[in-house]
Amino acid sequence: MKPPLLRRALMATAITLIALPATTAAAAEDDSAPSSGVIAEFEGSTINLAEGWGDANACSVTADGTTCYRTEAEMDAAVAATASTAARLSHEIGPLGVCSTSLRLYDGTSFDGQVVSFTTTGSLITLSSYGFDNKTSSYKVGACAATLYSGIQTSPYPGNTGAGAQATSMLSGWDNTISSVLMP
Amino acid sequence: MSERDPLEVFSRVNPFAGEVDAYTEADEARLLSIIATPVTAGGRRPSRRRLVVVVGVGVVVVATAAFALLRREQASDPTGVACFATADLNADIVVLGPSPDPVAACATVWSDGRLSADGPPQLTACVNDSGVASVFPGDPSVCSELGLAELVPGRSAEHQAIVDLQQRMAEFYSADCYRQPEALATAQQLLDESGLTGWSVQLAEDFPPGFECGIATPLADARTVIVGGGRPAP
Repeated sequence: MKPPLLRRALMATAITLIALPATTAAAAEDDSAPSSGVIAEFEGSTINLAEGWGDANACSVTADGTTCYRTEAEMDAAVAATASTAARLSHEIGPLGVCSTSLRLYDGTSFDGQVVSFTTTGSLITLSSYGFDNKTSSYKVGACAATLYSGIQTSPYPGNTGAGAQATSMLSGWDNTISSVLMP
Repeated sequence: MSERDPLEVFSRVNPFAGEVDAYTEADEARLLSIIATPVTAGGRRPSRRRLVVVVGVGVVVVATAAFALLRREQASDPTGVACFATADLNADIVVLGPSPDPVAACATVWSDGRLSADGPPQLTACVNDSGVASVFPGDPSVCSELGLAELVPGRSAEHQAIVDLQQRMAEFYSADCYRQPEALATAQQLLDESGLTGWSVQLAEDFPPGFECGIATPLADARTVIVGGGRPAP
């Protein structure tokens, strides 16, 4: 599972805030390459930090680039807002595990008709909750192995549902019988 | 006069012939009583009933329409979110894990290529018939057009406990292989610690061969934690 976005954002910020003085110092000392300084955003425009900070007094460097602020307090507020957004995004993705590619169930054979896709791992999903009970006629399994059940975690489908497996139709007697799925 | 003269015919069939002199004061009193009685009284009663029924039906129809238009509720099943590709219950769906902000969650699906790469259109969260947050493209009228309630954002304390339990169980059962007895006992322990009341743990079926390691999942609609075989032993 990927680390939460908040943690990743904070890690990136911490690393780059430490790295920034060294980078700018190195750029300032290297007179042979003044044009290769760090380009930063500052109040809607860009500045080359190697050529001077201008009115900027604090800069934050992240994986997305460098942004400078007039005061340290302004920077702290902006970083806090970014962390808050990252925290919100981590909730949007959901606290459960997420598979990189989805399990896809199709209403028709040969991957035709309505398709319902899932990426959540570690938790049983009941298809009646999504209006897809007893409708599966073909499927594609993503990067995570899946189990299809005819009941609520009962009677697992005996066909191949390993990672990357797909079937244009169900085994005999299994068409329109799947009621729950699980990517453990 | 011929026999076809109507007056002649009437006089011949007159049943009161010769009795007109029997007019009495009692007859007059009866006549006055009849005149004093409102002629339409007997006929109005059904009309009033009809009016009451019509008004009643009208009120019910208007109330039902208003209820359908204004129906707003929280998702009773907080364990997932359905993102629909079009404003149609039979449209393609991307199912996500739980989210406190289903519209924002589905917006990512509209941006990352799963439903579209062009960014999200206006999205509205409704509640489907199973109590799951369901997000459709469209303005808030899309919910009533589909016969669904509009979603009231937020989670009750109970719903938050269900989501927390779902997360905790996913972490526990993916970290270790719990065979049937331990899987059931662990589910009961996690349920007890969740603070949820009125819930129970249920074994889906004896773990079948090849599914020796259990997975437990809270099912909000049934107020049950279902425990079943989920993956093979390592």
